[in-house]
Amino acid sequence: MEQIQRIAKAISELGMLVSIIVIVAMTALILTEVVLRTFFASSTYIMDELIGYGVAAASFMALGNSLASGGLIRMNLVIGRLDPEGVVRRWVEITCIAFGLFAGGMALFYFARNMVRNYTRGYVSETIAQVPLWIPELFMVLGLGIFVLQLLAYLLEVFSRKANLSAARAVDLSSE
Amino acid sequence: MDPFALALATICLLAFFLGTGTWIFVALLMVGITGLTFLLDFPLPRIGSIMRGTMWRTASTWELAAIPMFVFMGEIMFRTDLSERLFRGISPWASLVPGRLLHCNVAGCTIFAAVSGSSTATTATIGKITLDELAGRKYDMNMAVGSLAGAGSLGLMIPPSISMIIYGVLAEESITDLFAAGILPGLLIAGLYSLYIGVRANLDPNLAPEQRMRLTARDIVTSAINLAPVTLLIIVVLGGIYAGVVTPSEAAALGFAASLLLVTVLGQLTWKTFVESLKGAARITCMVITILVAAAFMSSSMAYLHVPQEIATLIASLNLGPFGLVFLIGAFYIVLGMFLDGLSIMVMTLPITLPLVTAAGWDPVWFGVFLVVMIEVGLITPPIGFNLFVLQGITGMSIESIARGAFPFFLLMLLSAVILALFPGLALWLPEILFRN
Repeated sequence: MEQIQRIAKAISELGMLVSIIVIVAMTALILTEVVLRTFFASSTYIMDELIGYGVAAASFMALGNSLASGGLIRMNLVIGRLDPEGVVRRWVEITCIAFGLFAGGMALFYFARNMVRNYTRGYVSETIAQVPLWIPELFMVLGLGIFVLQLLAYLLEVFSRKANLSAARAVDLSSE
Repeated sequence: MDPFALALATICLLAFFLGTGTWIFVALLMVGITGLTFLLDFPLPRIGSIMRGTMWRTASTWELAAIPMFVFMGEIMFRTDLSERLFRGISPWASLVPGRLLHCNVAGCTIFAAVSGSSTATTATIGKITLDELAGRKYDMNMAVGSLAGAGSLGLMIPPSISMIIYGVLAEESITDLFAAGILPGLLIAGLYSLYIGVRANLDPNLAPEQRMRLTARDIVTSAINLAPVTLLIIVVLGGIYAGVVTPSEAAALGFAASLLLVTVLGQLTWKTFVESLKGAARITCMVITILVAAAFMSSSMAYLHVPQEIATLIASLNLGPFGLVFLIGAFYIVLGMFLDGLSIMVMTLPITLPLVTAAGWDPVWFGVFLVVMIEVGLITPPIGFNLFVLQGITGMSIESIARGAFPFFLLMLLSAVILALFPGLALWLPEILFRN
C-alpha cells in the first residue's frame, strides 16, 4: 500500500513541476509580448489564446499536489468539532473523498471524451495559431487524473487508519 | 416543483455539501451535478457536457494569468528579509506619533499590499517581523495582533489584488478600473486604523511604551535605503497600469521579473527560494481557480433552476431602495463571512447580488470595492477567518483572543463600508480621472 502512496505522491509532484514550468513560460511569453509591442511595434498575435491554455494547465496540473499538501480549502466548521480519532470523523472523511472521486471522476470522463473527439476529428482552434484542441485539454485530463489518483491514495490511507485527521488545515502558507 | 421551492432546495444542497467539509470546489461541483440531476431530471451526459463547457471556458480565461504572478511576488518577498527592511524603514517615522511602532503594522501591510496580491501573504510577511519586535518592547499584544489582523486584510483591497481580478472576471468589469478604485478606500481604512491606534495610545500610554523620539538625518537616509526596494517594485507594478501603458497581466509579469531581479541583487535568491515560491504560487492559483471554475458550473446550473431570478424577485418585493438593499446584502455577507472564505462567498453570491445591486443604480466597479471590504471583514470574524488562522500560526494565541483584539478593527471596517456607501465617489473618482479623460 505504501508503494501506491509513493507513486501517487511522485506523480502529483511531477504535475506540480509541469504547473510551475507553465507559470514561468506564461510570464516569459507575456514579457516577450511587452518587449515586442514597446520596442518593435509588433506582437506575438497568439498571446491571449496561449495564456488562456496556460492558466488552465497551471491550475489543474497542481491539483494533486495541492490536495496532498492541504492547499485546497474546505469548510471545517463541522469536521473540526468531531473527534479526530473517532469512527464518525473517519466516515465523514470517506464521504468527502467519495464526493471528490465522483465529481472529479465525472469531470475527468467528459474532458477525456471530448479530448479524444477533438483528436480523432482533428479539430483546431479558430485563430491564427490553429492549436489542435486536444493539446490544451490534455492538461485538464492529466490534472484531473492526478487528482483522482491522489484521492484514491488518500482513501487507502484513511481506510487503513494511517491518516492524521486532527485538523483539516485551512491555511498552509510556506510552512515547509 | 414551483420555482421558489427549487431555489430553496438548491440552497439546502449547497449548505449540505459545504457542511460535510469536503473540498470547496468539490462541494460546488456536487451542488451543480445533484441540482441538475434531482431537481431538473437532466440526463448525466447533458450535465457532463454543461460541466465540461463551463469549466473549460472559465479555466482558460487569460486575465487570470496575473494571479500566479502576483502571488509569486508575495511569496518570494516573504522568503527574503524584505519585511525586516520595511520595518526598519518605517519605524523611525512611526516612533514620532502616538502608538509608535504599532503603526508599523498598518503602514507595513499597506505598502506590502501594493506588491502582493494576497492577504495571507501580507499578514504573514509583516507579522513574522513586527510581532516579535513589538512583544520584545512590551507593547500591548491585543493591540499588536488586532491591528495586524485588520491591516493584513488590506492585501485584498490595495492593488494588485487577487480578489479584484476575480471580481473583474466574474462581473466583466475592467480590472484596471478596479485596481484604481481600490486605492482610496484602502488608504481610508489604513487611515482609520492609524487614527484609532493613535487615539487609544494617547488615552492609555501603556499600549505603546515610551522610547527615543528624535529623528536624525542619518535615520532618514537609512529609512530611505530600506524602503527603496519595495518602492521600486510598486512603481514597476502599479506605475505601468495607472499610466495606461500595460494591462494588469503584463504588470504582473513585469512584477514577477522585477521581484526576481531585486531578490538577486539583494543577494538572497537561492534555487530553493525560487522553486518554493513558485510552488506556493501554483498551489494558491490552483485553489483559487478550481473554486472559480466549479462555481461557474454551479452558477450555470443555478441559472437553469432560475435561482437568481427567484431570489431577485423576492428581494425586489421588499421595496428596499438602494441603501436598504446594500445594507441587507452587507449584513448577509457578514454572516457568510463568519463561515466561509471570501473567494467562495464572492463566486457563489455574485450571480445573484450583482444584478440586484446594479438594478438599484449602483456602479458595478463601486460594488466590487464594497464587496472586497465585506470580504475583508470576513477575514477577521470567527469561527472561520483566514487572517485569524495565519496569526494563530505565527503567535500560538487562541482564535478567540485574536478575534477579540481584532474586534475594534472589525468595527472600523464596517464604518468604512458605511462611508463608502454614502460617498461612492471615494471608489469611482480615481478610475474616472485616470482613464476617462
